[in-house]
Amino acid sequence: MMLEQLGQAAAVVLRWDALAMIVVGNILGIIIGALPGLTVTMAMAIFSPLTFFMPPLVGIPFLLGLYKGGTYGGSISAVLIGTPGTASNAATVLDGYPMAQQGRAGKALLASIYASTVGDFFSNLVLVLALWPLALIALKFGPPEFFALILFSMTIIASLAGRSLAKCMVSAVLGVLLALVGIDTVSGASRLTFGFSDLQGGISYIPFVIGLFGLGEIFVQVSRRTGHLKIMDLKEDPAANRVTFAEILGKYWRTVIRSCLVGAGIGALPGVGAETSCWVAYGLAKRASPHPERFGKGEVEGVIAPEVGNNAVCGATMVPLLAFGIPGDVVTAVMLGAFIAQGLRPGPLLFKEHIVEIYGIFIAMFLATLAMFVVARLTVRLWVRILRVPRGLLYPVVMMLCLVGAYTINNSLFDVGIVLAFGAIGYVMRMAGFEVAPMVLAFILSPMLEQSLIQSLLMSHGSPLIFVTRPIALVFLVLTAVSVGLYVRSGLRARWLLAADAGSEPRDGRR
Amino acid sequence: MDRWLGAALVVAALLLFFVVLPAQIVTPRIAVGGEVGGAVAHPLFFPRLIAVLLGFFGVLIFLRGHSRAETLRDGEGFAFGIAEAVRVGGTGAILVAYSALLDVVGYVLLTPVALASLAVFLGFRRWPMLVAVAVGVSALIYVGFRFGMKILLPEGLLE
Repeated sequence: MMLEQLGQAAAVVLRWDALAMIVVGNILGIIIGALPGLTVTMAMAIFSPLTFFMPPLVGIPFLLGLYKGGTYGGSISAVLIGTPGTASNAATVLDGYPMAQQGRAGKALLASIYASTVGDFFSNLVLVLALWPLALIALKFGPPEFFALILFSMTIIASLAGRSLAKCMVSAVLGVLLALVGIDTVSGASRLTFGFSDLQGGISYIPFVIGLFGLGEIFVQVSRRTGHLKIMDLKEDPAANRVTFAEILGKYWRTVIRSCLVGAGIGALPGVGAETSCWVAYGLAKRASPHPERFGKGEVEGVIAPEVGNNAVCGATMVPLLAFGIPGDVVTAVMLGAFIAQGLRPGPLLFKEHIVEIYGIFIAMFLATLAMFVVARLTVRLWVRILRVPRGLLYPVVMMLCLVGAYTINNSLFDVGIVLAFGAIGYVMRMAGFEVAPMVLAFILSPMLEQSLIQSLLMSHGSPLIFVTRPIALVFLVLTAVSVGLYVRSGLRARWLLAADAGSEPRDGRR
Repeated sequence: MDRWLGAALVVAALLLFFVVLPAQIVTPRIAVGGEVGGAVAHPLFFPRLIAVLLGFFGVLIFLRGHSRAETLRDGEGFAFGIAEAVRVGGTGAILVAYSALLDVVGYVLLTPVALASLAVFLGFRRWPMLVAVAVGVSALIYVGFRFGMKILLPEGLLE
């Protein structure tokens, strides 16, 4: 039975159109990831509407290719211009750019390709191995357990807080408020539609994320007049730029394994993603190294660790998404919209109703990793040219893709209006120091939170004790309390340190 | 900045709780879940909880505004000048005009013009490349949607 279903899935994913879309996804992902200002999340949001018109096992593999290619692609600009293409490659700059300055750009780029491939492959294995047991557990979940799990996931949003936890939480609350718009699924009442019949079905998710992550980010880039970028050359000194797969796996195996575990562990946590794992992997590699003083000055291990760490997130973030229906990070939050549009509602029931698609996703994950390696390895010299694309031409093209993509979802100008409105909101929020990612995650999670809360209270005839008398729910509530406590403690400690620092400063501000 | 923001959020939360939510959420005639369920399953129950949370975070941000140390730590004002406002406002205006005219003029005629206008507005002046990209990208998107995915884009004047 299982082999038969696996065969059915393979027959679809190994078709030429699915394979071609995996490769196209990777190419687009690498290009977008490599261009500073364009992000993987933006790419997922803009290209998601295209997948609605493809079979599920063609559209989803395309997005997987986009995700993996984009996560790797950011390292190209990190190495060649000293600016990470995406936040998940920020740590790669520290050693990648100095390597390029020393004439070892080729070695840094090759090391990042090999490291990303290893991290990505490991992450796929984690997905395949961890998903089944977790899905079996998830099948035993009732509304109280789901409520506690989603509440825990929402506290993890605190980790997305930039400098201000309160602003992060306001962003999340606004996301919840926006999710309230439309018909209430429990009572059938119309909520916060302000007389617009187009809002009866709620705010469309894909135009919402295209606006926040696509247009909003482009507005930020447009407002900054970027100067001329200095792009490092790929030098032709073979001795200085030689690195092999075997060398990465043999000489740096400790760093590779450690970073794989860090990436997969962080990716599996709901709400946290590659932008965290790259820093943790880099920090641990530096701490464990016998030569920590070389880090930041062109140490190849300083490229390997964050690149393994960020790609090791890609498969692991799919674990909470597929097992519980809870996105592992903001990229998978966008992907959730594409799944739902394809009629695939992630969560435990997916394993009962769409097992062939699950197998197809497994196969596509490995194919996407292979495609990422092949595309990246063959095109390594092309990226210097891609980085030279004028921003004055690039941004208008992306903006048009945002609007046309949103229009095609329902052939509706109302969706285009949503993109424009949330583009403006996303821009203002970023400029005022608010994170937009908590808003999106809260927008996705809050309908599930509300539904599970009400179902639980109806089950218990209004008694909130149901959440502490069910063991799994209690465990998640304790974890929620611990995570809030830890975050408040670290915030208070930072505040005390800052206050002590300010107190020791002379009154005229001079030291 | 934080004090103003906090105060605004508290006011917004109060308005939500007492004015907007009761006005914008119609109470159903039949309560779901009987007497007890009527309270928790009421469409106002969860939104009001959220309004309370918004007010709570507003108070937190307001109180933070009084702390010198925290203000030093943030240092994150609204970084915005006239030049930025013109660039973003102009870009937004072109996009709004494009959206408003899309159904009337149609995708084929309007998109190359809008693309070129945006590029010129953002300072791109290499004309041959500009025309090639504006026409080429618009055509590529059209062909991709129309023939690749069988999606009709607005025809407008060409209908």
